Amino acid sequence: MNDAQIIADFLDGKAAAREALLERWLPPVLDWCVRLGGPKIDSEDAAHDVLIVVLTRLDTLEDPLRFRSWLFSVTRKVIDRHRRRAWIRRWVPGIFVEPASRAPDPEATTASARGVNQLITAVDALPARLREVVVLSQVEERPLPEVAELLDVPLGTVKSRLRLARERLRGDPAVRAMHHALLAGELG
Amino acid sequence: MSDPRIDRLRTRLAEDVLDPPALKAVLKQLPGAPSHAVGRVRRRLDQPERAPDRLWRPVPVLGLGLATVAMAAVASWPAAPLPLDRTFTSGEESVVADLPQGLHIQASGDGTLGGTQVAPSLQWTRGRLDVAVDEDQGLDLMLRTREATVRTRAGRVEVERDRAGTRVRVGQGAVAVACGQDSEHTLLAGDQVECWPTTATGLLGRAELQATQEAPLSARQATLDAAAGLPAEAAVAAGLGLAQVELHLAADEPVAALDAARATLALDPPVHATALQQVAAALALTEEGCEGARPHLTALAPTHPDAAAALADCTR
Repeated sequence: MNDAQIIADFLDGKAAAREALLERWLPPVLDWCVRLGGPKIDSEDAAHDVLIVVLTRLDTLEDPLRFRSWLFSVTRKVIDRHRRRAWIRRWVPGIFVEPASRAPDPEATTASARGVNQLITAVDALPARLREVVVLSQVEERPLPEVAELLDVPLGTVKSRLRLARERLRGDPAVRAMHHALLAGELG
Repeated sequence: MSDPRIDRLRTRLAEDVLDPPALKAVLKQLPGAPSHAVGRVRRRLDQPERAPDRLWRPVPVLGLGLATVAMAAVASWPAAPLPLDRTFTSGEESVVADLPQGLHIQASGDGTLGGTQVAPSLQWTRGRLDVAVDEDQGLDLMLRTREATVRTRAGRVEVERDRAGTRVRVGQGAVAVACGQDSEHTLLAGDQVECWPTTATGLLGRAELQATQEAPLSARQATLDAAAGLPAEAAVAAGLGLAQVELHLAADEPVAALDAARATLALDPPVHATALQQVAAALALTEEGCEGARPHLTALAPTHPDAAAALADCTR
């Protein structure tokens, strides 16, 4: 079943469509929130907000075939809002509820040991329009035409943004360190 | 003999080449969400109500410098929201103007709008109300009738209140509705619910409206069943009793109608006594004969010649 069919069923009030929608799109939305939102936001909170918007505003989507780009634009707006809040929180501690504390998970601990936190910071420092292209095309390995569709920009724009992002990342010490670590790992 | 693959890697390391494939390999290390996070978000989404948006919290005790910064920031925040005060009266349908941004009201009936610019509160008494709250405006709308509580932060909802109760229909978004003291349920676009009156008086009004609208007997009986056991003044209890008698007669259940009439006559103080005695006498004569009808005819005889005549017939 494709997205358009799921949306049609959802708008008809079929409970199974809600399940299908969440099953299909909650994981990628959560990944977007983690990778695009950066370490300062509560990614689960953001993903929750995105899905709430999607479930309550789906009837405003004019063309179901454009669902993916609509979903991404919703995610982008929600993430922007959460990043703004994080920025305010940075200057006025306690003004918003802090992100819920999460028990340290083994994946994060391992990642930290490998310098991934510095990589996260490096990607987070990119302008949003570059970060989006990097995450979608390099991390999630989506074809560039699909990235263009998600971002609702021409393919050429995606390519130029990717080129700019690569230039910036190549000069980042954290990225180079990770590169060296990977090569050293390959050399055994 | 050297391994060409290792040689190539040594060369790349020595030259510090970070070509697109190498960069991609680095970026692939960027982690996504932990596997268990999906389940956590899913559980939150499956909760009947959206978790509250981020709310203000008291600024914790800070050092003097931080406190100064915090106070300056709080002071620069928008002033406390202005209170709302508006009265709606029936007779004309109107789109209400001068509302907080993101709030739209079309009212035809009686009610009041209170609360604040960010937390508007509607008290709706009678008539039809169409209210919409735009998303991302930070509004938290509360709408109350005597039997229903409706809340939404993003949605469009139609509310209609009359003697039958409050009907809520969601046109868009998500709306939390609680009937009476029941717990809230989230309704989505297309859903509707009817909240019945919660008092005996209100249910009597609903029963009377159903009778005039010739509602199905089962629906009318359900209303009377809901009223059973609720505290009621004698006049209301008698009204409910009369409605029950009428319903049994409409259902062609004369014995049950007679029982209901007698139960209502037993109320203290008696209300609608004459009408109930007449009904009971007529039913008793057909169902039980003179013996059953005699008490009712005796009560009616001093003021009703036809009852006196029937009583005389029964004593011959």
